[in-house]
Amino acid sequence: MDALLFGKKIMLFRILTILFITAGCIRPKYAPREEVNPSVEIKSCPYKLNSGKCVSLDWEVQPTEEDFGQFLIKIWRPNLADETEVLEEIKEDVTLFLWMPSMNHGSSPVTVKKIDVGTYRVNDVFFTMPGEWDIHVQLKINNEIKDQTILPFTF
Amino acid sequence: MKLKIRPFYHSLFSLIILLGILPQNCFSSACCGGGLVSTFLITGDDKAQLNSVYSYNRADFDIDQNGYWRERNYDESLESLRFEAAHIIFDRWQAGISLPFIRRTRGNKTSSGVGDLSTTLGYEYLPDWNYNPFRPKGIAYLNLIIPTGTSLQEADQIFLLDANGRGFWTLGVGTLLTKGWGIWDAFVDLGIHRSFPREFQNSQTQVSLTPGWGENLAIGGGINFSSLRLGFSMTWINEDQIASSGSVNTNGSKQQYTSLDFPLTYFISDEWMTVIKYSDKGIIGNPRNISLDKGVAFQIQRKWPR
Repeated sequence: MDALLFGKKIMLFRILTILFITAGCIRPKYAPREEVNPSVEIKSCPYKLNSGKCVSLDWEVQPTEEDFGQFLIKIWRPNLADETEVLEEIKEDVTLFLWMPSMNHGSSPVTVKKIDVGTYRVNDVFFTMPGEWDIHVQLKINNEIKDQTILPFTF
Repeated sequence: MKLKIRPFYHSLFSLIILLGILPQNCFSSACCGGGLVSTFLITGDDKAQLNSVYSYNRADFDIDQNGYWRERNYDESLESLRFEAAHIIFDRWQAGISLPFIRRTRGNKTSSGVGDLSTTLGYEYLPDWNYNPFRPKGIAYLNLIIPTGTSLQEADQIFLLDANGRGFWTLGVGTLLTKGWGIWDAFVDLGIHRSFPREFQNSQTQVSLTPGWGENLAIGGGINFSSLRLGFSMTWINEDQIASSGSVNTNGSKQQYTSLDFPLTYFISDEWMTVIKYSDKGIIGNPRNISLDKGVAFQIQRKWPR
């Protein structure tokens, strides 16, 4: 009888071992360093609104996991002669929000303040967790979206 | 050779012990208080039971949709105080309810609130035959999660600390199989659930989110020494992506993880028991789109025999 009980214990041990092997010990795959660098490379007309206007982003204060960040958003068109920035006067309200597309949730609200023609300072920029985020730029009239674009960002 | 038949009270003892290892509390994550599945069932020969569980969880890594690990450089914790009750309503039928209160802390900021309410209806379709060494006790259950907590999409506070729930009505079905062999016991819990679309609005966005199906499988067991029980369980969770339309149009990404639980149960008396448990999502599996939290839980339970 003891042999039978011992056999049962061995069988249970085997089952648990197989379960462990099947599931596999976790193998971390750390994100490459360049992916977590919180900066957006600015190229000529890096992002376009649906209307064709260009949007660029300049970080003034990099956000961290503890502190707010701050950046400038510029809305412009390429100069016809040399494609340099010609800032555009925007008649719509410029709004922004942050969104994590993989989990489909946002972050805390940002504040947007017009600084100059086509130039807006965005404060209170905070990403609640590391990962891939979208910065949604929307131009609205009476809360209705007239134009928009998305700036991907890895935090 | 005949198989040894254990006395009835041994199997009963083991089944009662299983209450301490059921995966009721291993689904909360440090990102929000919402659980994907939460069932609370009477598996022993009791007519009612009350349960209260305090748990403390924190995550060191966030895993993105591609499986990349990103280390957290900040302290965020989730404390949960969960009250659960279950009662036999007919001969083989039972009903249960579970309500968590969540407190989330990040740095010096704290927010607390009620989480998602979970209700369960169970039916014992397979009574345990103690003289049969293989046939388990089987309980089928229907689980409804009511989104009483603030979801991530509705949260507006800094760090989204006010997110205490998942935000969706969720209906699940599953089965729990339990069996005891003398000092050993084991269980299998297999379930599927479906979450339903919902509109969300906060100060920034108005979105319609469409979640999908989810599956969960938990396997566990334990060994008993006098009034102590040492347990182990492994839970696989897979959750469909949540598609978004409205202010944001994205397909979302699937969530998956494996959680390991190590409960230690102490039986104070026939009516009272306590459990201390360590849970960790970062030991095995291939996690995607999830915060890898680990934590401890302390549980105390009172039950009333039939």
